[in-house]
Amino acid sequence: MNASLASLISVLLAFTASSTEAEQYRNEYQVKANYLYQMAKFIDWPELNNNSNSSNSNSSNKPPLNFCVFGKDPFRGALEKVHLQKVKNRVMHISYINQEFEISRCNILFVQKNAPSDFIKKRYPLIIKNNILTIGEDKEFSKNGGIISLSFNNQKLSIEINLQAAKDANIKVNSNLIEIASHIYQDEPN
Amino acid sequence: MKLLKAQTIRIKLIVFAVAISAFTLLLTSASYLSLELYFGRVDLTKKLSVMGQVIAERSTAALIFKDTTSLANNLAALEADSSIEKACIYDDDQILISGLSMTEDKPSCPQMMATLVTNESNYIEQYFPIKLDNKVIGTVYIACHNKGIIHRFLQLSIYSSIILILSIGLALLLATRLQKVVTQPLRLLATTIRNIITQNDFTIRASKQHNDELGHLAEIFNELLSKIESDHNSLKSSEEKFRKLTALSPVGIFQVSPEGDITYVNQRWREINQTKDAEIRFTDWFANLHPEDSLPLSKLWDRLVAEHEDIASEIRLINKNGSISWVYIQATSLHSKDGKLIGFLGSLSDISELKKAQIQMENLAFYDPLTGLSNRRLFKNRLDKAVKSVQRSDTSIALLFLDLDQFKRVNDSLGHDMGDSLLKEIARRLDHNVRENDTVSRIGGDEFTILLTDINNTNDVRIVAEKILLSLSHPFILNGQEIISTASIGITLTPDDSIDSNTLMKNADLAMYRAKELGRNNFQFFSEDMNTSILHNLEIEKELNIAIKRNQFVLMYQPKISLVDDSIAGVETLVRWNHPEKGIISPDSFIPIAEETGQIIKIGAWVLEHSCHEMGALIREGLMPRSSKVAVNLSAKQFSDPDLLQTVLDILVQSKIDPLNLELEITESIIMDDVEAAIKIMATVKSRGIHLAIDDFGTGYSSLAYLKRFPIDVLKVDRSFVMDIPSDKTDMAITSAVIAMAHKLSMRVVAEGIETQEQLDFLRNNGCDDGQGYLLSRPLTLPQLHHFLVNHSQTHPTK
Repeated sequence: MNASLASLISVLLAFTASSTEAEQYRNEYQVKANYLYQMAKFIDWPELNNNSNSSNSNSSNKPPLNFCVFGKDPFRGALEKVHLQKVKNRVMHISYINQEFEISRCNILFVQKNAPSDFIKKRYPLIIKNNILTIGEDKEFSKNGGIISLSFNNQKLSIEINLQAAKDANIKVNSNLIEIASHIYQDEPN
Repeated sequence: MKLLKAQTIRIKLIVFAVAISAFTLLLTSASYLSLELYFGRVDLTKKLSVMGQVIAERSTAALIFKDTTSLANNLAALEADSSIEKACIYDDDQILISGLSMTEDKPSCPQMMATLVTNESNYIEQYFPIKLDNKVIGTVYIACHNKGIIHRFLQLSIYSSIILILSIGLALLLATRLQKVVTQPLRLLATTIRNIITQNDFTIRASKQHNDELGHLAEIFNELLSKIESDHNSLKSSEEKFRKLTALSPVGIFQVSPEGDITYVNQRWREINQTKDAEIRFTDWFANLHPEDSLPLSKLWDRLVAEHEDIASEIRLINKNGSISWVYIQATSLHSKDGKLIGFLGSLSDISELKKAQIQMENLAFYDPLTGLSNRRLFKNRLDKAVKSVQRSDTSIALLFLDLDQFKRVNDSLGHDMGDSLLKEIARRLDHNVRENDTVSRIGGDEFTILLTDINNTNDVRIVAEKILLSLSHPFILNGQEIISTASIGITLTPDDSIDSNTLMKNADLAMYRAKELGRNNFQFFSEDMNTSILHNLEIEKELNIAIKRNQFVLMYQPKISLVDDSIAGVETLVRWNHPEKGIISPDSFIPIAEETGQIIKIGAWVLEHSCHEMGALIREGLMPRSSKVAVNLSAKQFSDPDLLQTVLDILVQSKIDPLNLELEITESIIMDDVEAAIKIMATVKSRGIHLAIDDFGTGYSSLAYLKRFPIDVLKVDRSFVMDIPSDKTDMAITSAVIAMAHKLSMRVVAEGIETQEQLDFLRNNGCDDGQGYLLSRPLTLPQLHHFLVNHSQTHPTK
């Protein structure tokens, strides 16, 4: 009886230890998921502007805001919370893609940590043509042509913005967001 | 306020000027300061609002991504404003994200927004939502102290106070200087008025110094002075006129002040009062009046003073030598235009002469000039007074109504002078037999009244009445002639009979008539049955009116037989009243009443008409001889009716009988009332061929001297003489003498009331022409008469 209880406790403890690690990961992505969602509020897309100017801004008429996660899903479902939430009257659609051709219908493209550093550079024309807001996990992401990099440094959030890239994609970044950015890339052509 | 009212204009002007400027400045400063305070707060709030909104706007991303450094930087911008107390930013869970506190001693932003102390009085604080994509993601709280405003407000207050004090000082200075502009001319005006009053000189004028309202006031004041001056002059001259007028006045004039002092009397007043100096107090003058007049006048005077009721009174003034003069005093109150009493004005006229004449006039009006006794008017007056006064005492008064018996005969036979002398003597005797308090009056020709006061019982009155009758029973010797005159007296007493003077007069009159009825020369006390008989008479009078309308009268005929040849000489018509309830009523019961009321004229005419009608028929039928006569009685009223002759003639024409067939019977007393007039009437009737007879001859006072002058055809011997035949030799002698005398005067003689054969024989033997009576025939109805006449013509065939 005692042995069985002790074994049960040890199992539970082991589970707890392993779950703490997992939880830490999960927390990070939950926060990220939330931040990504919030980030969208500081961004203005040209279509959106045209759309809201031309039609009598009925929310149902507005096209959804497509949030694409390319490749493997690092959020492990945390993004589902954001799915169908509204950003500036647009419903956010979360979709997971791994085909190149799918990129063109994204409004926001999330690029994982482990993506190659030239990931953006390779698809740059496609991205700017479709006015896609690119957000990466990697600290160097905006330096490498992404628009916003969202990384954690010692539990502290760090945001970097490549304003040139945003300008190329015809995307406007709210000045408040720019203000809290830890680094701004202004006019690096590549 | 009361204190202010009591101050001079100078003080008032200063107080007003200072008060107004102080009030104005105070009001201005107060409103300026409160506006300053208000706008200070508004500005601060606005500034705060702008800053808060900017910070809230800028802090969205920093708040979302928990960038506290950025937030702190945002808040740090506020440090530039010294008025900021603290600023805090809370996230959507109301947890403090960033805070800024400017003061060390004050606690900085609390961790939880809910624990923020808000609404501190010296703070201005605001909350600003931080919105992102239309969602509130946090709150900016900014608190700002208002020390700056308060400080500025205090500074301004001090400046305002200093300005206020300076202004008041300036206002005081100016007001003190300027008030002289107003008060100086007013003082000058006041001085002028005082000069006018002290010098009593209305020619002084005020000087006009300015051309403003005050100058205008001086002008108006001068105009007023001119008016007063002219009024004063005209008043003086009017007063002068009044003095002169009163000095010349034949009437005494006096003026009395409202306090009752005599302020003026004219010369005539002094003359009337036989004094050189008038009394000082008007009421003292009352001492000169007759004691009976001074109290009533004093009452009148009190009423004049109290109620301003004018006096007009006749009073007696006792002269220095004790004689009395009558004066007529009139007085009235004098009032100013606004109704204020300014005194009394009166006049005094000597009316002694007038009064004397008036008393004489009154004597004429109230006294009988012949006897000197009071007349009817004065008597009535005294009776009224006595009746009134007796109601307040236990005693009673007696009213004696005295009428001389047969006085007319004295006048007629002895002349009016003699009558007057008799009245004078009777008045003297009456006056002699009553007490001094009692009133003897002559109220008509031969009517006297005696008013006895203080009567305790009827016996007192009886004694007086007996004394009067006794004194009158002594013969009067007038112009050597001895005259007997008696009187009938009616007596009534209060309060048993009445307490109304008119009723008393009527009662006494009734009682007097009763005394007359009872044979004259006696007195009768009034009794209620006298009234009853009056009522009875009134009843009959009413019924007679109906009887006349409804023809309730019937005629009876009593035949007259010739004592010479037993032929029918005629009939006498007798009227009866066939009363529907009472049956046949004899003429004695209603003829005297009809006579009194005048109804007799109508009844008489009816009787005459029917008598003639039926007589005419009987004669035409041959039942009555052509020479026979119908005899109809005339009453006194009928006899003196001016229409008598016309009425008779009309009836004769209508009934178609000869005047010779009509005989009118008149009683002796009717003729004797006015012999001369009666003779004239009789002559007229006679001239138409109508026969006249004297009824009841021997009962009256007819003088044989008259008898021969009467145009009489027939003389009827009264039944009272016939009745006593053959027992009374004297009556028999008179009867035979009358018959003889009548025959001498060419009159026929008819004897009435023949009831026995002896009477008939005696009369026939003495040559009496005709006879009438129960022995010969009772009065008959028309059918009975028919029967009688037919019978008679059979037993006594005409020769």
